[in-house]
Amino acid sequence: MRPNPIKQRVLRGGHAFGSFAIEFFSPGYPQICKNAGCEFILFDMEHSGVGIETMKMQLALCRGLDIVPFVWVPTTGYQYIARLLDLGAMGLMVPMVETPEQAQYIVDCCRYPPTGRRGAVFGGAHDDYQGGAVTDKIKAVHERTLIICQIETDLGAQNADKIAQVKGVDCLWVGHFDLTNFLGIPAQFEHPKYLQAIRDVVAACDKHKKIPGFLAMDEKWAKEYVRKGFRLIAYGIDAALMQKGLSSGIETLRAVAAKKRGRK
Amino acid sequence: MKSNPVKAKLLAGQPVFGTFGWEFMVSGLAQMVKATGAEFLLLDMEHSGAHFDMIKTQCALCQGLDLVPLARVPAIEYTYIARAMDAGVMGVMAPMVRTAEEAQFIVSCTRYPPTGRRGAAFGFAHDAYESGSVADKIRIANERTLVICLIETPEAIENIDMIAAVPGVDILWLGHFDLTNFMGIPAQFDHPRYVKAVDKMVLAAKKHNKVLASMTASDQWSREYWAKGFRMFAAGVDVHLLQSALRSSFKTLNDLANT
Repeated sequence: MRPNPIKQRVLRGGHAFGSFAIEFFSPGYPQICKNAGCEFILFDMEHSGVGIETMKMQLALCRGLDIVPFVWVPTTGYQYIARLLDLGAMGLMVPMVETPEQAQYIVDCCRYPPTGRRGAVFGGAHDDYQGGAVTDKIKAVHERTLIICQIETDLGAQNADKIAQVKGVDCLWVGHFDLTNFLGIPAQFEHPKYLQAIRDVVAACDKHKKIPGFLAMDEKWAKEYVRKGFRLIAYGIDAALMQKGLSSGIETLRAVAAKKRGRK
Repeated sequence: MKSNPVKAKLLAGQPVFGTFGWEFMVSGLAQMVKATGAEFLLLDMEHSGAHFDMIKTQCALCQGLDLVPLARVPAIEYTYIARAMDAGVMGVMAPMVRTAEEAQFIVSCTRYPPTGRRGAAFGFAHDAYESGSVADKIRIANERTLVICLIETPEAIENIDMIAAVPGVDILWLGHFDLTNFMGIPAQFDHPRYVKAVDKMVLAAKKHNKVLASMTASDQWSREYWAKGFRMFAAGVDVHLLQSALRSSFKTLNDLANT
């Protein structure tokens, strides 16, 4: 089974940067991200509207490209977590994790018995349609799966330390917009309550040797959150990056055209 | 931009084996056949109903796998040949090639000027969205492209020496079923006229140092055509491989049920 080359490195204190895909699920997308230097892609199912078949295709498109695919599932449900792992996701992000019990359930869904409750199928997409010893595969899949709990509610932030303590949880990912929303301070990313929650999440991760994760929307966010201690960072969003590049080009064209008209 | 290890092996006189993708153009097809040892995946557009969206997706699925994607286009037309190349195939198979002029036209559709007539687009699927020197990319594209002429009519056999002589034609692929059909002896693969036609094709390929290729659906066919000098084989058609495995299992089960 293909290993996940970034999991152990980031757990030991390293960084990994990737892309956040919400719109452009095209055949070339993984290769384009790889060319840009991404080490992983976090594919969104919570807000993108895409179904499991689109995910299966994108996960297959990552094969052989040395880019690690993660999926942001829409909810804490076995039917999402286990199915996306079966399709080849090397890690999952689960939204709105609020309690250690919920985190434990998520870990259980990712593990085969006796440690968990995941149903078994081998020789399919997740093990690259290969033969081989099932016991080796089970070990390999447990080693490679990166489990990300999203902290984005007031309760989740309060329980950050307990969630980080759960064995098998690898990363606490701050859902920054939702977090401010649930704290009653929408989009106030300098608010002391929000900043305290960020510090609590990073402290909980440091204490329990887990990874703080974040979505950086631009270079300013990127610099700030690396400095705050976040180590698994997605840069995006795909559609926003495209719009930004395009609008800058269109603005240039408009400015040049206006100048030319002015000269006449 | 990736190179084409299948072409390198064929040019070095080594055999290559792959399979025909026809019906099951699913997200796992490339990895499934790679796991069995296939070196190329020939994607059918002539009879399968698959179009460019599918070919582009299948090529992208081959991208990381060391599996060479090829396409059989539905007709000898620039719009099919050049677009399939842009979607990422490393070679095209053209059906019903009858004359050296047609073969020459197919080659020219796969090559950029001044040697050919292929229109240029870089930084997309066929060059893996990479930047870099366009001159290098043109050189790699010309080096990696395989041109396969399907020989499946009496006219093609008539003209086989001239078709084989066309520079840029790499492979003569025997369309055995259509050949017997067009000769008026459908599926009679022991018929003396068919055997004679194949012999003529083999001679022309050897004279002009071109690769002989065929599909194979049985071990007997593989042995027979290997002995004739064929060195590139596509095993199966995907759907028939599934059917024959099912049939074999059902036969066992039915035998058990009936005893």
